[in-house]
Amino acid sequence: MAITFQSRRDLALQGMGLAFAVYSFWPMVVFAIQTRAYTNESLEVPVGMLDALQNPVGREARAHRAFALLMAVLFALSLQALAESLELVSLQQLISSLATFYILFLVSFVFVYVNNAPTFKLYGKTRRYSHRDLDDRDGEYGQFYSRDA
Amino acid sequence: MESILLSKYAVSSFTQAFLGLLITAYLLVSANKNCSAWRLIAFFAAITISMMSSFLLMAVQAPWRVWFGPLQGLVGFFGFIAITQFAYTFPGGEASTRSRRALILSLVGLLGV
Repeated sequence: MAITFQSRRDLALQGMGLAFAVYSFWPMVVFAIQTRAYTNESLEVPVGMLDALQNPVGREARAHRAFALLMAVLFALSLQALAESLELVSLQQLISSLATFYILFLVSFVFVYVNNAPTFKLYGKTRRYSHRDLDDRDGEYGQFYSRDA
Repeated sequence: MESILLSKYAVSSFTQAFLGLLITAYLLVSANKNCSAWRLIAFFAAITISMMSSFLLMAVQAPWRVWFGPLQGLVGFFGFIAITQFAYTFPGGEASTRSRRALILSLVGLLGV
């Protein structure tokens, strides 16, 4: 059977869809494994993967579970793109899902990160006072920021 | 002749690109950037470029617009590599041996694709 340009293009799209599915499945698995690792660390008792995903213990474990769930959304979208390249779902359905769930994924991912990143600073800057400033403000802050302290 | 066609697909891509740009800028100005933060920023930057390519692919009516298709896929793959690296390093600030191995493996996989 001769491979036409159209069929080669379809093959390329299917290959890319499959690769996207694999590349989104990988971080999901890593986040799930990290959830179990942090739960084990908190409990000091080995627990199974499903138990850890159902009841993660500790802030890091909960954050990793949330990331794993969000990556599951991305994985589902990748599978849908693969299904579209195989003509199992329509382009209209794919675009509608992307428009809804991709935006949900982006916003949720940032929220989870901001809530759980250890060194995140939401707003403002750390103000640094010189000793001269502190001497000038001795009445206000001197008791807290003494040069001798 | 119209040079830009704003279909519903193009508008959807533009919305996602704009959101990605806002998130990238927010992370750039707000976060104390350790190793994992930079990887997350790279992920969102890749999403922004990928969605902008998608918008240009669908909206621009010119022969050279077909180049935005492969660009969208390639940048998308780099985004996935960045998020995989983020998964290995978050919340710590240093790359481990496992994350370096994963980086090599994912780059080899990208070359294969």
